[in-house]
Amino acid sequence: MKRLKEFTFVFISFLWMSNVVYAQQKIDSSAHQLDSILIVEKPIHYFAQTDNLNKIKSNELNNAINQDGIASLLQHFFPVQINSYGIGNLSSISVRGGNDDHTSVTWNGIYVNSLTLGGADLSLIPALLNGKDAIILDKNTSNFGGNLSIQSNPDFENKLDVYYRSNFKNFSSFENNLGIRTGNNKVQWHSSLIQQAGKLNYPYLDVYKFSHPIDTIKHNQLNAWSAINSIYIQLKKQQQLSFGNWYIKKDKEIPSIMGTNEVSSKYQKDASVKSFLNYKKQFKENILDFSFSHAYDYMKYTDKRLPTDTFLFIDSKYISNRFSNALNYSDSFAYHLTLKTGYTYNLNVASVKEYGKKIIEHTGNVYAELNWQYRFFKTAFEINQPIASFKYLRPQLYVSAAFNTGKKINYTVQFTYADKYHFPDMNDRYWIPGGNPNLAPETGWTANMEQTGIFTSSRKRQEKIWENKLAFGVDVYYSKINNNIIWIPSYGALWSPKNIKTTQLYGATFNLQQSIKQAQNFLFSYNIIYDFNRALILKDETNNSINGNFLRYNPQHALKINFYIEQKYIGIGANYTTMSKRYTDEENIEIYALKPYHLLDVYINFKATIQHQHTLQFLFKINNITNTAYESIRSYAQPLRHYAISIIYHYSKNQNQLK
Amino acid sequence: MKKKLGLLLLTFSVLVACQKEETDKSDAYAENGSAFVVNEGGFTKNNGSISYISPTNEVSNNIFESSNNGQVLGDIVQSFTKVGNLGIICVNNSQKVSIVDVRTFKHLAEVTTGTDYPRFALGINNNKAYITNGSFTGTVLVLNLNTFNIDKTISVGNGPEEMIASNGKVLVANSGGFGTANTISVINTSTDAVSNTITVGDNPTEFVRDAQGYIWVLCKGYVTYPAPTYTPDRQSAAKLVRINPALESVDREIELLPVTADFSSVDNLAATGDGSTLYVCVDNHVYSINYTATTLPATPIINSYFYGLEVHPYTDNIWALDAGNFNEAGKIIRYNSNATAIDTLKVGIIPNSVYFNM
Repeated sequence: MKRLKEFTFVFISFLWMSNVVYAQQKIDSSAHQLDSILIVEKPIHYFAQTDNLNKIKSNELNNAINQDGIASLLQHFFPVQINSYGIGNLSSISVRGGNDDHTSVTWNGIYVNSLTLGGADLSLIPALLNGKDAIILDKNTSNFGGNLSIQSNPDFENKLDVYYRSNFKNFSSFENNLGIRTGNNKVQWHSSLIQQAGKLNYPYLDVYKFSHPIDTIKHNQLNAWSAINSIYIQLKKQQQLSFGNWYIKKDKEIPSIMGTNEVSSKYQKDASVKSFLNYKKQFKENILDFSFSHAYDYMKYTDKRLPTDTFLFIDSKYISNRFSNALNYSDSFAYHLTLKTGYTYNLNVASVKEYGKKIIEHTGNVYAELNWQYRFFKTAFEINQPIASFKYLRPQLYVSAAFNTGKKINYTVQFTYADKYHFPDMNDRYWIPGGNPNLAPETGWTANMEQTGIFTSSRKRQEKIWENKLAFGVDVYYSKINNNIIWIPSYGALWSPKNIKTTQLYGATFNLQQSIKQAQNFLFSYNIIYDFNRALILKDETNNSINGNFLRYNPQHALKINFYIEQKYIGIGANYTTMSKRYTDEENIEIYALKPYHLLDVYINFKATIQHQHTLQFLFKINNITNTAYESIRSYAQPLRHYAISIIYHYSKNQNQLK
Repeated sequence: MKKKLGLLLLTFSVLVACQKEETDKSDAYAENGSAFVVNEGGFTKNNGSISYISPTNEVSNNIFESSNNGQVLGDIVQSFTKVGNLGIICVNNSQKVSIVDVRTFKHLAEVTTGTDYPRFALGINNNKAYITNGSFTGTVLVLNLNTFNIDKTISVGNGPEEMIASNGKVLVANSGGFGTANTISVINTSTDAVSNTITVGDNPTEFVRDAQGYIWVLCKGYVTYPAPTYTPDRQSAAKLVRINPALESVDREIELLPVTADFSSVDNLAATGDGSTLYVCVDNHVYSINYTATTLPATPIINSYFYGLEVHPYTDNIWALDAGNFNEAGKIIRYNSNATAIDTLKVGIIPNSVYFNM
C-alpha cells in the first residue's frame, strides 16, 4: 500500500473482485419485484437459443415467491455461485467457475454489467418474484459464464393487478414494494415502486480477532429506492410496441472488514437509469424485432480514512452511458430450415477521473444462424462476428446437435461446441496508471453435453386431478480460457494487466426436481442441485509453480436442496446449501482457505384467498437457523441467525372476469 | 514381569519424547542467525503472516498461526521488531499491534489504542518501545512493554515511517503518508519529546547507518497525478540524504531520480553489516553505493524489481524480496555481494522485509 493512486485502484478492484472470486452465500437485501414487461430481443446477441436445461426459468419454480430477493433465488435454485460482501453490499455471480465479468446480466435486453468494471452488482437489481416475470440462466452463450437474463411479459388479458409486499427484518431493516398493472387488450401500463432501508447492524462471529468475539457490523446503513414504469401497445397486424424505464438509487455505508479495529468512513452511492424502446412484428413465417436502449450508470466511492479527517482519502467516481440498438430477423424456409440473423451496435461512453479522458468506443456484433429441425433431431450452426473499435476478433463459431423424444416423456440429449470470448474491461485498458490498451481479449471455447428428462403425469383421484412432474438434468462441460487477464506489477511498483494465464473449467451439474400438485389445495415440490467444478490454472507465464492449482473462491462441490409443501392455507419450506472448501489465493495455502459450511433456512407461509381475486400472504422466515458462522468472501462478515416477516397482498382481475 | 517392565519403559520413553518436543518448542524461534520475514498479505484478505528462516535455511511459514491454534495474524502485516523476548508486529489494516513471545510466537497481547495506522516499532529499552502511526497526521506511540499500554503519544510529522536510534535519540522519517512531508523528527528517549526537526528531501521513509556512523535516509520524492491525464508528475527529485547524527544536520545528498523522471520510483534502502555498502532500488534495478560515494553508480548490480530488500548483517548477502503477482506466495532470492544469485526461499504472500535475529 505504497501510493494513494494504487491504493485507490486496489480498493475499487477489491470491491468488484474482477478476475477473482466467487463464493456462495445468500443476500436478502434486495427484495424487490420487477415490473412485468415484454420480452425484447437482447440488444447484444448471444448464441442460438436451442432448447436445453441450461436455460433455467425462475417462473417455473413453485416457491420462488418465498425467497427474499434475486440473490437468494439464484443462490438456492440455480447452479451458480453468488459472491457477497455482506447484506446490502456488492454481490456478483459466477457460473461454472468463471469470473464475475464472464457472466453477462441483462434486464429485458439491457446490459446490466458495469461498462467500466465488467461485473454486475446484483444488489442493484430489484428482484422479480412475481409469477409472470422470469430469471433465465442460459449457459450456451458466447460468454464463458453464460447470460443471466431478467425478463418479463405483459398480460393483455389483465384489467387490474395490484401487488404489495412489505418485508420486516432484523437489524432495523424493511422493504416495501408496490406494483400496479392495468390496461386492456390493446394497452398495458405497469408501474412499480420499491423502497429499501436498514441499519443492517447484524451480529457476526469475528474469527479474525484473537478471542473470536461476537461483534456487530457498524456503518452499514442502506437507503435505496427504485421505480420501474413501462407501457406496451398491441398494434394491428401482429405488431407490438413497448417502452420501459427503470431508475434506481442506492446510498450505502460500507463497513469495515472483520478483524480490524477500524471505524469505517466509506460510502458508496449508485444511481442508474435504464430505458428501452422495442418494436416487434410477426409475419406469417417471419419475425422482425428492433430495439433501442440506453443505460446510464453512476457510482461514487468515497473514504475518509478516519472519521475525524476533513478531506477524502479516496474520491472515485464512475459515470458511463451505453446506447444500443439491435435488429433481429428470423425466417423459416422449406426443408425445415430456419435462418436467424441480426446485428447489435453499442456506443459506449465512460467518464472516469482515473482514465484521464472521456472514453468513447463502438462495440457490437453481426450474426447469422441456420437451424435445421427434423422429427427428433435439431441442429444449429452459427457464425458470429464480434465488433469492437479497439480490437479485432475472428468470427466465432457455434454448433449444436440435439435429440429430443417429444412430449409426455421428454428426453433430450444435446452436444454443443461454442467459441467464447471476453473483451478486456475499460478499467483494464484505461486505468491510469497501469491500464494496458494492448490487452488481447480472453478467448477460448466450451464443449458440453447435457441430458434432460421431464416426465409428467396426471391422475384423477376422488374427483380431484393430481399432477406429477419429475425432471432431471445432467450437464457435463469443459471450458478452456486463454489470455486470462491478471493485474501484476510490471514496471517498478506500477501495476498493469497482462494476458498471462490459461485456465480450464470443467465439471458437471446434476439437477433433480419434482412437484406433485392438486389445483390450489396441495403442493409438494423439491429441487436438488449438485455442482461439481474444477477451475484450474493450466499455465501461468510468471509462475510455473502454481500450474495445476485451483482458481480462487471456486468450490469443488456445492449442493443445494430445497423443498416446499403447501396445504391450501399453509405452506412450509426449507433451503439447504452446503459448500466445500475454497482457496483464497492462487498458492492454495490451506490455512487461508475458507472452510466448508452448511446453511439452512426455513420458512412458513400462511395464505388466504378471497373471492379468487384477493390473496393475502404472511411469510415468516428464519435464515441461517443453525447460526453458522461462514464467509462468502474472505474477511467480509456474514450474519448469524436472523429473521424476516413478509406481508404480501395481491389483487388480480382480468378481462374475462369483467365480462 | 518383563511385559510390565517393557510397558513401563515404553511409557517413560514416550513421556521423555513428549517432554523433549515441548522443550524444543519453547525456544523454537530463538536461534541466533535466524530471520523473521514479514509477509504483508493481500489487502482485505487477512492473510498477512510471519515466516521463520532457521540458521540452516529451513523455512517455516505462518508461524503465528501454527503457534496460536490457527489464529490468523491480520490484514497487511507491516513490520516485525524484536525487543528482548518480545516480538512487536504492526498489523496495518487491522489497526492493531500484536505482541508475541518471540521464542514461541505465542500471542501475548494486542494494542488497539491509537493504532489506526501502525507502521514500525523500535525498542528503546526493556520497558518501552516506540511505534510510528498515522497515514496523514503522525504520532509516535510510547508502548509500555510491561503493561502493553500506550503511555504517551508524541506528535511528529505526517506519515511517520521507519525510526533509527542514535545517541539517546530516535530519528523518525516523516514520509507524508498519503500526502507529502520532508522532515525527520528527533525524539529524546529520556523525555519522550521531540527535540529537533531536520529538513531533508521529500517523503523520507527508510534509514541505514554507514561505516562512519552517518545516517542515510531514503527520500522518495513527491509525485502528483494532475488532471486531466492523471499521469505521474514528479514534483521533486528522489535522493539519498546523509545526516550527521551528532550535529543533527544534513551534510550530503545523492540524487537517485531527477524531477523529470515522472514514471520512475525508488524504494528499499539497505546496508551491509559494517555499513560500507548501501543498496537501493531504482525502478527495476538494484544499485550498490559505496558509503563514500557522492553520486549514484551508472550501472546497477541487479536488473529486477523487488518489493523489499535487505542485507544479512554477517554474510552481507543480499536478500531480495519478490512478491510475484501479489496473489501467490512470495519468495526471497538471495544474492552474494557480487550480485550472483545463490538460492531462493519460498515464503508468505507479499514479503516486504526481514528481521535478522542476531
